[in-house]
Amino acid sequence: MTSLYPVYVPKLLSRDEHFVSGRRSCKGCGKALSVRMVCKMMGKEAVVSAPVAFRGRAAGCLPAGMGSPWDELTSGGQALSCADRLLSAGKPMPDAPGARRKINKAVIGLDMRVFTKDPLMLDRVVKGNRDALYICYDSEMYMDALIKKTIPDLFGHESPHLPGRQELRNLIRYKNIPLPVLESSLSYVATACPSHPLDLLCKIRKGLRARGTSFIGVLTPCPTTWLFNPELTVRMGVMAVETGFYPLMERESGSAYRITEPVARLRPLADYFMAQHRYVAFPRQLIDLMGEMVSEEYAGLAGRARGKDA
Amino acid sequence: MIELSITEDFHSNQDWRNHKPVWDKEKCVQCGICYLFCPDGAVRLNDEGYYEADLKYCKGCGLCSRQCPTGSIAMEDEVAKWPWQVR
Repeated sequence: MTSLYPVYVPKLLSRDEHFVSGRRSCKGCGKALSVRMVCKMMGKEAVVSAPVAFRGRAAGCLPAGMGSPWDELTSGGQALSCADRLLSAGKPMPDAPGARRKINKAVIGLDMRVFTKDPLMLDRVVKGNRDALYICYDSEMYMDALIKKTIPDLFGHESPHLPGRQELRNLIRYKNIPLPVLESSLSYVATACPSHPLDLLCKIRKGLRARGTSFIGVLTPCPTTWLFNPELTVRMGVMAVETGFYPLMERESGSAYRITEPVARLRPLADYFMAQHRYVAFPRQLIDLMGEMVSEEYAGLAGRARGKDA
Repeated sequence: MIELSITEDFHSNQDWRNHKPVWDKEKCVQCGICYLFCPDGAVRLNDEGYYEADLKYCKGCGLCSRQCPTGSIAMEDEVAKWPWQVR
């Protein structure tokens, strides 16, 4: 029996829950699942800051959603100011009784799209030399914008504006990790998904241990906006990884990007898209084109990683 | 007088649920995958060493049932049925 089921969670993880039950997030919420795993890995001595809207959704009507201290004053770009304040507050009296030697701190971005649309925040993340871990939850809202573009303006109008080749390529290349972060010299950059939980937890631990700024993008399948059955949340993450649409990779300081969950043969991208009802009227030729681009990007990424290792 | 059913307990998620997970102890190997994947943290370890759902917080999404490697979790209907649906 042991050889058949080698993963025994009680031996691998602590039972402490810092993201407590009783929230009003949707059924099968991928973001809640990710935040729960992240909070479990960060432990008790962490300060979480996120926009107030997320707090309201996560904690419900009463402020009891989080076991960790929750900073309510931060929103969007102010999260970074708050992080600076917290870090500087810890420095003057390191030997005082009760003072923390090390603050585990995660700045939670609401969404990858919000994060990338704020150039000031991106600039401060990349250039700032803070001992912080930035976790950016990505529920693929940019794909909604793409879907809206493919809908014809008028009923019966058969030639909608389809995005061009270069636009699609840029979207696929930089959607997981934004370009400034990709080319920066941050100490740890990674992508993760709650469908591969041990991979996610290991990356969070590495990000916390790395000296300097760390950035982790987390794919969070969303049953409400992607329109799929809530019980398929994990399945969606697995399919995103298997199709190469969201490759799980990491880069430690001074090394190349490395694929942590390599896929020998990629699944067709249509499997992933057709499992979500929001793509029901998405043009088929666009899916095929994006599938080709995803395969090329994945091959390039794998080739670069192999070349640097050799 | 009509009594409206208004939720008073905002810590509870009972009003979300249409199905509830039920564990089959003979099939369960206590691997804890259900505990790991529960988005609400509603799956807990009981005194016997088996997992069970805290029905106050479970929303009945069915992720635990879908991910169980031995298929020991079944989702039972919890909604009141119409007379013609009862067999």
